[in-house]
Amino acid sequence: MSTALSPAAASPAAVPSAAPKALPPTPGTQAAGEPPMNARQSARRRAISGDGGSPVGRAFGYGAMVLTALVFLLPLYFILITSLKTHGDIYSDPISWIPDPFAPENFSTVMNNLNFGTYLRNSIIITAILTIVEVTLGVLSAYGFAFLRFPGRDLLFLLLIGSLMVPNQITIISNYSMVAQWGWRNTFAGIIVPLAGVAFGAFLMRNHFLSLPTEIMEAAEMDSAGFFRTLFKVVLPMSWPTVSAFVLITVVTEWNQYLWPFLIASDDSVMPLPIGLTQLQNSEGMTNWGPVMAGTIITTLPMLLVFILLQKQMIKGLTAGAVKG
Amino acid sequence: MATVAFQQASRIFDSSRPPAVNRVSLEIADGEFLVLVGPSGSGKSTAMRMLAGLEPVDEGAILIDGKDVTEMRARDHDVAMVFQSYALYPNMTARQNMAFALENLKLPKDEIARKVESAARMLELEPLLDKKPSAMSGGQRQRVAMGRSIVRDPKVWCMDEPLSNLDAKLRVSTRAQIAALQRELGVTTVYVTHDQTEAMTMGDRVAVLEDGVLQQVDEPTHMYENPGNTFVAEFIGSPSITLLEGVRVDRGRALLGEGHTLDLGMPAQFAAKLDGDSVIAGVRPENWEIVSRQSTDREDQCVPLQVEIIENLGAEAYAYCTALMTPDSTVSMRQKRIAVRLDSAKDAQIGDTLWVRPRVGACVFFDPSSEINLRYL
Repeated sequence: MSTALSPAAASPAAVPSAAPKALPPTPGTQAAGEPPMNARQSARRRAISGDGGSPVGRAFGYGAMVLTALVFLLPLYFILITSLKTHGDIYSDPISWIPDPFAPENFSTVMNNLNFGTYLRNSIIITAILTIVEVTLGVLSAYGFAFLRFPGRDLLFLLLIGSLMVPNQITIISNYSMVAQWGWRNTFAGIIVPLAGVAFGAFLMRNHFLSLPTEIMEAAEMDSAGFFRTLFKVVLPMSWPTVSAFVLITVVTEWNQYLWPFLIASDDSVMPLPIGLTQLQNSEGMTNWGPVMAGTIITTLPMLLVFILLQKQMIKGLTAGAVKG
Repeated sequence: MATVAFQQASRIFDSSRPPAVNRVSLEIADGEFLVLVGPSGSGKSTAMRMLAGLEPVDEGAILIDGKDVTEMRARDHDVAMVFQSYALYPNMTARQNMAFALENLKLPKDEIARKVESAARMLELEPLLDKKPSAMSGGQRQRVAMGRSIVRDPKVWCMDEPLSNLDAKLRVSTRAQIAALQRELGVTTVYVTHDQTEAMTMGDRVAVLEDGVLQQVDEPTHMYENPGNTFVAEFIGSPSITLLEGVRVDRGRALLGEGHTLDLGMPAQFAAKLDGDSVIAGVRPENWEIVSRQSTDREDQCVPLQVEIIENLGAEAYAYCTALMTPDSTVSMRQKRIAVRLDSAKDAQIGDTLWVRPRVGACVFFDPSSEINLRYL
C-alpha cells in the first residue's frame, strides 16, 4: 500500500517538525564571538528574562497593584470582620481592625433563628431553574437565529434585541397583575416564569455562533450530522467559553434578583437570600450589623465559588486548531 | 464510484450581475480526476460547492450517477469534501473526526473502527489518531481532513485547494500522495486549484473557468499544446505564452519579421478559416529557438529581442525580452515582455540582443476577432 505513495510523503519526516539531527551550518556562515548588544537590547533582555524593569518602575507597578487591591478588598474585609464582631465591638471608637472578642455566633444566629437555611434553599432553587431555563432557551433560539432560514427571521431578531432596551421595571405592573390573576403570588412559579424570558443570552450566543467558521458547519452537514447533533457535537463544544460566560452572568443576575421576588414573595417559604437580608435588617428595632454581615457573607460566598469554577473555562479558547492557524 | 454531470448549471448570487457560475455543462467519467482551474473569482470553488450541495443550483441540473441531485440536501449527495481550511472539529481527536460521519450514518461500532483504522493506515495517521487538531502540524491536519473525507467511501471526492496552506516542500510530496491515493481508490474526484503545477500534473482532465464560464476541458498536455482560446493559452503555462497580434497572412502563410520574411508555419487549411489578412500567433517560451547571439546573415529569418530580465531557476532559465520592432510593424504584443526559455542562465546577459525564431510547427494560431484557436473553428 505505502509503496503507492511517494516515499517523501510516506515517511513521518515529511512533516515539517524539528529536524531529526542538527547538522553544522556551512563553514563561513557563522561569525566568531558573541553578538554586539546595545543598551536598549540589554534592557529588553533583562525585561524578558523575568527579573526585568528598573527597580523604580517595578515598585511603582506593585504600588498601583496594592492600591487597586485595597480599593476592592477593604470593603470586603470590613464585611468579613463585622460579621465576626459583637454588637459592642462594631460601634467601638476607634474602629477595631481585628474582631475582639471573636464572635462566630453571628453565623449560627442567622442560620438558626432567622430561617436563613430556607432563604438559601429558595435562592438555589430559583437560580438553578432560571439558569437552566434561560441557558437552554438562549442557546436554542440563538442556534435557530444563526443557522435556520425562515421568513421574518431578521424582524423577529430585531424585536428580540428591542426587548433588551426595555427596562425590567416597566413591565413589573402588568406582570404582577397577570401573576396575581393566575394565583401565583408567593409561589416559585410566580417568581421564576416572568424572569425566565431574557433576550440577552440569545443575542450573545447568536453572535458567537455566527463567528464560528462556516466550513465547520458545512463539514458537519456533509458528514450528515442532524440539526441537533450538529449543535451538541460540533457547535456547543466549540462554544464553551461563551456558554460559560453566559451561565456565569445568568447565575449572578438571578442570584442577586431583588425587586421581582420582593414583590411576589410574601413569606419565608419562597423568599430568596437578598430579600431575607432585608428581613434580617428589620427583625429588631435597631439593626444588629453583626448578623446582617454574616448573612451577607453567606449570600456572597456561593457566587464566589461559581466564579472560581467557571472563570478558567471562560478564559480558555477552545476554537484553537479548528482551522489553519 | 460515480459519474458526474453538470447540465447548464448556473449559480446566480445577484440577478443584476453576471452569474458566478454560468451555464456550465460538463461530464465527468467514473473514477476520473478532474481539476478545476481559473483565476480568483472565476467560480471554480462555487461550481464544486454546487456539486457538493453547499450552494444551490439556480438554473440547470447536476447529476451524480445519473441521479438528479439539484434539489437534494448536501448530506444526501454522498459527496465528501476536503476544505481549504481543513475544517476539522477542534473538540474531537483525529479518530473521532474520522468516525463522526460514520456514526451519523449509524454504522455498527466495529465496522466504524475498522474503516477508521484502514483509512488511517492508508494515510499514515496511526500515531495521530488520539491527538486533537490543535496538537497537529498543518500537514498532519491536512491528512486527517483527507482521512475524514475518504473514510465513508463517497461517490465523489471534492477538494478545495487542499494544498494551499502547506509549505512548498510538503505541497510537492502531498500532491503525489493525493494523486496516488485517488488512483488507488478510484473515486471520481473534483479538485479545485489555482496552481499551475497541480493542474498540469494531477488531473486526468483539466477544466478552465473564467468569470463562471467554462472555457475548455481537456487532457493537460493536449490543452497546453492546443489551448482553445487566448485566455486558456495565457492562463495555462508559466511563464506565459507570447501572443503576437496583427501577424500578416499572405497567400495562406503567416509571416513575421522585417519585410514579412519569417514564415510561422501556419497550416494551409487555417488560412481558409480567416476573414481578414491577419492572425494572432502564440509562442510558448520553450518554442523560441535562439538562432544567434550576434548579428547574422540570416536576419531575415528571425526577430531580434533585447534581454531585460533573466530568471535563473538553476536547471533552466528564462529571459524576459522586449522585441526590437521596426517602426511601421503591424505586430503588437499582449504581454509587455516575451519570455524565452534558455538552457542555462549563461546563454544570455541583460542587455544582450538575441535573434530568435519560433520552432517550426510549434505556433498556435487564433482568430483575431473571436480569439478562438483556428484548430477548433
